[in-house]
Amino acid sequence: MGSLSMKKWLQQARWVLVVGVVVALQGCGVIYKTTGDVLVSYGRSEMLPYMLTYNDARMACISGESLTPLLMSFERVGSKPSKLGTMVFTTSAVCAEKISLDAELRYLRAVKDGQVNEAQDARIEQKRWAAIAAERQKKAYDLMMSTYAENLKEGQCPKLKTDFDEMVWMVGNISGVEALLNDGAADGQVGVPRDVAAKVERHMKCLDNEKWWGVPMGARAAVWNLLPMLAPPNADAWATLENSAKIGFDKGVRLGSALYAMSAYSKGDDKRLRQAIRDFAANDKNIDPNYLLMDTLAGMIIQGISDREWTQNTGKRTPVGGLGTFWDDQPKSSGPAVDINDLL
Amino acid sequence: MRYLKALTAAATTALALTVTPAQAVEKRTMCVFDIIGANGDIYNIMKDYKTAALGWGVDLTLKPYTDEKIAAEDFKAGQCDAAVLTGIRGRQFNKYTGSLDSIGAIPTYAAMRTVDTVLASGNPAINKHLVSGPYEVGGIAPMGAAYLFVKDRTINTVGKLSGHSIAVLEYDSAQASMASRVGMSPVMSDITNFSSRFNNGSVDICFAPIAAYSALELYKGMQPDGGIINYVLGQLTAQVLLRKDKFPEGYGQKSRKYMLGQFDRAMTVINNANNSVDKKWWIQIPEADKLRYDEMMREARIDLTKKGVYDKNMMTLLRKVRCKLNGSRAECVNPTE
Repeated sequence: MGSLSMKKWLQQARWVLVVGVVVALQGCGVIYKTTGDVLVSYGRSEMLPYMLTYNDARMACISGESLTPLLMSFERVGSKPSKLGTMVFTTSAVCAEKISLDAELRYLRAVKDGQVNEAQDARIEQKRWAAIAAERQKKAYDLMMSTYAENLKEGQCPKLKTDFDEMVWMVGNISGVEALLNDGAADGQVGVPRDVAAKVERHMKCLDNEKWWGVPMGARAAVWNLLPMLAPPNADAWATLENSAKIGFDKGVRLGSALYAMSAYSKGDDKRLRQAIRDFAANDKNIDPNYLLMDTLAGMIIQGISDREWTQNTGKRTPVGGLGTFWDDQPKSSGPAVDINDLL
Repeated sequence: MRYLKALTAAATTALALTVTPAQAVEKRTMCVFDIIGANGDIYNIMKDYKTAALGWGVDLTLKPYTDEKIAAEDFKAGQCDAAVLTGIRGRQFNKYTGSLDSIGAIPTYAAMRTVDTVLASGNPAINKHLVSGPYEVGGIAPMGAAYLFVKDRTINTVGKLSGHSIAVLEYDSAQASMASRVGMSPVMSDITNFSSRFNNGSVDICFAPIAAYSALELYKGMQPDGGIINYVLGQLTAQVLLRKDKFPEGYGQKSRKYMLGQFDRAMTVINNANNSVDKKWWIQIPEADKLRYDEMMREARIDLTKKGVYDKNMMTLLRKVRCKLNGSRAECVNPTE
């Protein structure tokens, strides 16, 4: 009799245990999801605006590299980190791009010094890192597209409810074009679809040009320069880029200027390239402190182009404090001429 | 002490000798046409070419050009010692390799690879064609096959091409001539407007490399009922052209070998472009019609060779390559090319 009731009790206890485990596991899920939601919400409303006030691109890129897996893992428990994901994948690509650029500078230096093996090795390194950058930027673009443009018809704009949405749309689209360029540098290892450029050109119409520092029109004009067949009739890519740079200077985020320089570099237009770099360097007094990081990223692009030019011509990158100057500039006169005999 | 001085002098001389080759490199410029400039695939290949050239004693400065016409003019005017141009534009500098892009002459990438291997072989019978006047061909890279993109997939036979408008590149006389032969109305276009004419419906057909499908969104022009006729109408190539007297002896051959080594790399980009094509667009044409296309292309090539557009020797080489890879082709029985 006793053993029977014990058996019954055990049976009941087993059920209690099963139910308990199920509840506990669901509880974990609830906690995880809540944590994810809090993280996404905090990241968006506090961390990102805070990070944007930094002028330390390295910190941003390392944060991107280290936080991305943690942030994106909350997708598994039902949180929606894709908007923030676009931002962190983009910043993490900055790290890979920097290493790729350093390898490119090593290539240019080695060529200048006649070191064939060194130059060829540097090219391999450059391509490896360009592929990693392209992969990350493509991921940023894909996340942005899946968030906003999944069922979008051509020519239609998504509902961008907040400034944050607009920023994610802008950054994700620019990452798309960057992915394309880096994949090109990586011999097409990633296979980024080539129609990204045309799509981004259309997507940029969905943003207010003045509000976003001239970037939307600047990005469109940069695409027209790459593929003139995508330009609307009578479009003037260079005039648009110049205007975009000017808006950036006025608003204190000089991304338009960086787009101008990238376009001139790609087209091999040395005169415009130098002007873009000089203008960028000359307009450094009015930077918007709330978007300092964006301006710093623009500065990295400009410095990268300047470093390529300097290295190709002198074997060394841009001297400290030398952004906006070139190796063959006429030396400035240092005040009134002094006759040394007067001092002796 | 005297020994030490002598030793130092000897060491200095030895060091000077080892440094000399690097210092003795000649500086040359290369004008590279790439539709998207310094960020493009061709320019990217030439960045690596630059490292190889260094080993052959030449320090190349690469200049990107997004306008091929200007690149060709600068090369002709001597502003660049070398240039990279498409075969069609390069025809004016070397008709032999300038005929590689001839219509329907290289039906597969296997044939393309064979042709590239032959051109880089160093065989004197081939090499004599690679030098023309002051110019020498320093190798080629494939840029992908070209197809007919149509707005209406019922245009799937040669006969149905007649009466339709087609955008053709004005600087390639072969395209307009071919279009007229089959009764199409050629609409003279350039690289900046042929795709928009097709996409906005002002022409029914366009002739374009597969890379244009995605980059220029040709799928927009094909919607809803169009497609790509699955018949290779030609192969686009990028060609390295050199001013022979500006480069050391033997440079051209090394350059051709190097470019052959880039074949697979160029194919990665082409395969990416091919893979981006949604399979629904391919229009398969009946075998009988394929043979009709083959015959029509052959007749057009013979005609254009007679007119002096294509080079006879290249036409013979290409026919031999086609027949080597597929001996059952009709043209192999009684060859006329």
